[in-house]
Amino acid sequence: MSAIRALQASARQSRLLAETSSRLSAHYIQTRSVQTQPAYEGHIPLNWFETGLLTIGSAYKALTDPRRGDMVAAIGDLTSGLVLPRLRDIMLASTEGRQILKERPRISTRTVDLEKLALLPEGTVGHAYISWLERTGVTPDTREPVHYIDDPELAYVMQRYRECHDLYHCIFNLPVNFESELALKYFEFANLGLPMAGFAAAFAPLRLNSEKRARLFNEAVPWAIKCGTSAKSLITIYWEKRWEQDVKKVKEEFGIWDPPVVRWRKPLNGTKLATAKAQRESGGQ
Amino acid sequence: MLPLLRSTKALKPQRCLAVSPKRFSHSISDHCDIVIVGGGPAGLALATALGSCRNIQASLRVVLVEASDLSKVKQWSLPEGYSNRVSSITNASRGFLQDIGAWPMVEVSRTGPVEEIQVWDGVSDARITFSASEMLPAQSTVELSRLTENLNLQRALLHRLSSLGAVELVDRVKVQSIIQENTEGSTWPLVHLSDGRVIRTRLLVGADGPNSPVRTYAGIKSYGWAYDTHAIVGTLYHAPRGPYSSPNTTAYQRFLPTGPIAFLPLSETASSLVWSTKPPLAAALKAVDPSVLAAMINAAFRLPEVSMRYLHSRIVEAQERGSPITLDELREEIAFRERSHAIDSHSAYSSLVVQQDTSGIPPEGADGLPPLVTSIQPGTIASFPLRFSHAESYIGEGAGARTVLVGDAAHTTHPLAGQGLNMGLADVRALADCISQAVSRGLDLGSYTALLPYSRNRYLENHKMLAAVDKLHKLYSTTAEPVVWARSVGLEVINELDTIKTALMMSAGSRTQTNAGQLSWGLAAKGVESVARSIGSARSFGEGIAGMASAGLQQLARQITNPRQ
Repeated sequence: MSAIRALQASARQSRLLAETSSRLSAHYIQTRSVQTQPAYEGHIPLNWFETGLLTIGSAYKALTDPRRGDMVAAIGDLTSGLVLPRLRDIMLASTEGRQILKERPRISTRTVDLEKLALLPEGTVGHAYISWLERTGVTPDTREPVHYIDDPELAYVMQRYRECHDLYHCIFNLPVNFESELALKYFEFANLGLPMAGFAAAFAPLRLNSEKRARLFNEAVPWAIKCGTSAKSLITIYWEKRWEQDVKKVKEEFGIWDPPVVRWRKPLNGTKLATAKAQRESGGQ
Repeated sequence: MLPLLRSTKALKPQRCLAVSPKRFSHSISDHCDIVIVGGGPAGLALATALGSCRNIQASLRVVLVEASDLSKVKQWSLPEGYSNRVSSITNASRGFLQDIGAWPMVEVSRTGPVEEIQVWDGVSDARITFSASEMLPAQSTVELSRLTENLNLQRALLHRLSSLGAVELVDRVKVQSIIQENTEGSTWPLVHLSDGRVIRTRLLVGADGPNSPVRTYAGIKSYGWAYDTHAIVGTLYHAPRGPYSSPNTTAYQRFLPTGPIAFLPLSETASSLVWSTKPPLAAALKAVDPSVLAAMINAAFRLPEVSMRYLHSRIVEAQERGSPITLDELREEIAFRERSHAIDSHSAYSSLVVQQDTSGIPPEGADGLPPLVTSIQPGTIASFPLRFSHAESYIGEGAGARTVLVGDAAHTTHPLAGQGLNMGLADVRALADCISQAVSRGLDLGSYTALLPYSRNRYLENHKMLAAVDKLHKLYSTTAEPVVWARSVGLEVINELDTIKTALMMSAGSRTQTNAGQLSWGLAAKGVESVARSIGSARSFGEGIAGMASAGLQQLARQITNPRQ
């Protein structure tokens, strides 16, 4: 009899314990918004004050010195909060975009076999990409990782956007210079809605001279707005699965067309050199 | 308000009169005082209330007409599984059922006490907890309400009725038409039954549900709208809660933008589901395998809103393709979403691994979530559309005189607050009181003046509840950020104010009516206490700051006076 009573007492105690713990854990749930543990690799959780300070600081720094890639990236992270959920929704709604979110591929020299791409026939996405990289001297490894977005999936979407930015250059055949970058920013703002692109598009023309600015607003901007708003969202393109596809086909599928002609400083011989190099190396092995 | 309604009603053509084929060729076979149409919980409760009232028992003849077979309900064999139609009987309603002698006939072992209710926002996770032990005074009951199968309640009412013997039950008989008598200025309703009988009645009570024929006869318009929402119901099975969690006496409700999903405990291993959601999704969820639905229910309480939206679209897409989603496909999608949100497979928010052994310490946050559903009782999944409606009046006049509406015939509501049946029972209580008063005063039962106290008592009360539920539904169907923010802050603030929470619970029927005065004084005392406490803590906070400041000054003074040290 007493054993039963003891058992009952212990059960009551444990229930009390459970209740207290449940109250504690309920409290825990409610305070989850104040995160201090990083949610993914490279994540730096910030509180509202730090967020504000960094936004103002990075905006100032990025405007005064656009070469500070880390500052440009930081302001991108901090201002994209409202747009990224929409981009994620767009990705989840398309079969291809969903695949990207499921597999979370990264674009860098470690994940993409550039030598293989160089061997692809002319006109394919892979070939265009490799020749663009060669021509501009850009490497896919210089992308700043995402630090300040709290949701791991949204952080990936931001990362994906950054890594795909070069491919937008490539598919539109735009070099890396101020005007082209700006035209592309207008396009990205229209197509993806990222506020960072919007800021750049709004403030950067102040740095151009009047002749260039006139050309920008007469030619590039109308194209960017028309093309960007009518095309499908480019964030859903799984580039890694399309290396062998024809660039024209991709453009057709997503409803995009080329921007007005832009001048390249370097002649178009980088591709040939790259192909030769790749062939030499593969032959040598 | 009422005279105004009367004038608009006069314009409405009397459809019932036109339908009746033999308007003058009836032969009255029966006279009685009260005819109740409808043998649902409200109709049966009214019959029981009238039958258990001594002055009515002795002087009135009461008949209840029901189209279905009531003996089946009466002989309901208490099967092992649970019925899918479950209602939350609040303490107020239970007090009433106790008074009319019906509650002792309810099979209490089949009912589930609700000691705590947890409600949270599907978008922001803001949460409110109502707990009986914390907020109701110690001397009153420790439950907020009791979940009872409607059949269990109906069965109890039927047993009580047959022990009273005061009410004549006419079942398996339909009301074919209702015609107003037209002789010598008499306006009594004549109820034509499918067995050929014609009953002439002093008062006709419509307890005949949302599409009430009595309401149509009375010419009472009902206004309202259909919610673009269907409710899925079903009986769920799960593992019992372990020794380190609270027992299965907590009701959970999560407000998703598509509608709330509720988990209502019936026993340690069984609970009832009410999932209100968009009609295409409801159709798709009903078409899939029950195991898929079970997985969806688990996910719906756990995954963030964006992922629920994603899963919904996958299910509806598969349904439109003609091949309902399989369990493996769904599990893969859920795994993808859990991975995306960095939900660990051991956390309480993961729903993929259902642990049978619950004797260990549950993961953090497990008490804020219902147990994982393992299976659904076959044949219990059903769905029905939801409507807001409220009759313009509860009492018929003119061509529809001598009629009165109770329960769903008078109003229908969204099930998110579990108030539909409770409002019906409150109607019944008020109407029975009103009739009893009329009888003791010798008033004409069917007359407008005799029934007016009932309408006065209930119309505004019901309207407040209906409107509140309607606003809640609308407030929580949006995902607009400022609205979500405002409603979350509001909810969290209310959650901290025990006084307001207790008042809310009391207005939702958690008290029994007998000790209302005592309780409200207790409530006032509690309010004073919390104000005093907060003043006290503010004062000590101020003292703390003053102390810190003076210590700082002292320090400073010391440094100034002894600069050398």
